[in-house]
Amino acid sequence: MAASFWSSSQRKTWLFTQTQLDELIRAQKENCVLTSLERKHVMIYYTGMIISLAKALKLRQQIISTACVFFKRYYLRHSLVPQRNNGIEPTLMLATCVYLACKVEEAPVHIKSVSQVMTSNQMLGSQSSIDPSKISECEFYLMEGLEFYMIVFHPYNAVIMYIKDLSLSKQDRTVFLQTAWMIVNDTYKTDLPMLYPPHMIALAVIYLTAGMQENALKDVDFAAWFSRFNVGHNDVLILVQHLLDMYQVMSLYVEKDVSGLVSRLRSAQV
Amino acid sequence: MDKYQKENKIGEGTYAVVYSGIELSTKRRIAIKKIKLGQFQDGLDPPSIREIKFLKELKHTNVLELIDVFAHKKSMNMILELMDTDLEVIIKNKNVVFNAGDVKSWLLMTLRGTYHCHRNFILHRDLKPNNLFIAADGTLKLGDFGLARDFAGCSKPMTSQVVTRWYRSPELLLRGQYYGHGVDIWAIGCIFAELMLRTPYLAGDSDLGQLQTIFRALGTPTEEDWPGFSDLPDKKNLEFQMFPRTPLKSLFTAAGSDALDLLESMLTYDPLKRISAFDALDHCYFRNAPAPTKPEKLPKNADAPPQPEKNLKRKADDSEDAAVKSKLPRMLF
Repeated sequence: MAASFWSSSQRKTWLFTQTQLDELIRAQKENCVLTSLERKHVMIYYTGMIISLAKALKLRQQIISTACVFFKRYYLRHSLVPQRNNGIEPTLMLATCVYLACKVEEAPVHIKSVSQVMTSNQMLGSQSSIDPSKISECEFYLMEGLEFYMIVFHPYNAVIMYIKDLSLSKQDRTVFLQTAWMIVNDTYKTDLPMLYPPHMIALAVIYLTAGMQENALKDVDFAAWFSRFNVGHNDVLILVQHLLDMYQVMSLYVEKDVSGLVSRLRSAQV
Repeated sequence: MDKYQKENKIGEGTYAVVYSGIELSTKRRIAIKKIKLGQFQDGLDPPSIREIKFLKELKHTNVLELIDVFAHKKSMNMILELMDTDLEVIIKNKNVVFNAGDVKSWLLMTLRGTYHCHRNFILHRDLKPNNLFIAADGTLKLGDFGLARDFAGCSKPMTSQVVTRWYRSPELLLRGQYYGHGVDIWAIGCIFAELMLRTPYLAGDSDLGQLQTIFRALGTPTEEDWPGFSDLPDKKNLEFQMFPRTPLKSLFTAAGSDALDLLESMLTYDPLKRISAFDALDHCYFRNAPAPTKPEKLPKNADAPPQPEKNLKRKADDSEDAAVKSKLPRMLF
């Protein structure tokens, strides 16, 4: 994390209202092939690939999250249906997102190891292998798609800070943090990082975790703690609802069906 | 590309060509750094990534402005402000005479730019006169963010191979991996001294020699001066000659006591006790007479040709970079 969030490009150019976001997505070509729910599932599918690629490369969570945000930002203005003329497949793009995120987060990996993992884990659709030079070329298009803004803010630090402030017992805190951390990770499968600032996501995650782990909070006046924040209760509740929707969408996710969707996208070349 | 007019080629590096030019809408002079696509196998090199990443977020009078980045015909173009010269050229030009107000003005602008970086949690990690650029109107701007790093607290170890040797702080020279704003402040202290002396203040000939030079000038620190000093990675393997602390006044004969107090607080051994950019800006030195010279009235480097390509030179990887750089011979006068 660097630069102050309030003056950052993330707040100024990469936060949208739901309406703005829907319009951008509706303008993409995949819209003729996919329903809105299907598109969400395809995004979960690709995020899953980012995560397994990153796990194979043993990357830190924050790098994974940055890569996910890069991927979503790029496909806000580009179609998931690969275009014939430049031929960037989402699989190539996601490998590039991971590669660039590593550089941006100052934990560079070798470009060859990215392509190797992609090839050996059979993550590629139509191609059998991915050439490192393709990734370096694609990196250029990715940066252009990101409008060269590369610093991404995450809710992790805020979550840790809030939990510390709740002053739970050590054991409770560990469990609480684990749950909250998982929920934050899940938000990267959705568009939430482009809809809300990180500290709001963090707060909503704490709120939801508090609902799930009432035991840990038996000695804490959560309502009083919560009211100290200068945020509208309703705004947080709306965000919590988003989180619940997210799990609803995830519960309808069937890997096999989504693979079918992805190959349908590939064949829909324009 | 329609917004800019390309003029002369002013420099060429391994991966990029630099042109001077004009922004058509504002008529201001710019530098165009053109990076060819497919020149390198690993994509864009880390220093360029850092430069774009940080300069896109930082906007300040005393930070070099990245006006635009865009893709054009399979190449990437960075549009930067075109700078007239840098502070190193001015310091070396013996025809230019500085007065106390000029030094104060340059130092003030350096600290303002640095404070802006620090409050945005960014460490520059390569402050030196050569990276402090001077615009046509005399304004000083921090440039070359190729080694810059985001800084979110002392939790993560970072490489100590940063900052050009003469400006490198003792905790870096002893290979400390947990450091902070202090590394930039130490470098500014060295620059401050250099502005007064007109020659590099702590010019060591090797990493070890650099420590010797520092200790000879400022006295060898004890565990009392600098708690944690003995625990730094390289301190354990080294024995240092004990030099006494000589008062700064004996070397900086012309400097006022407020200037020396500020200098001393910038060159404090313990990074935690070293002054912050914010407190330095609040130091009485800047409020006492003489007032800092207005940028447009600062001495200009009339004889030297403009050297804008300097802010655009590329560097090797983070870890190797400083090492490589410190091996480069430096022409002094």
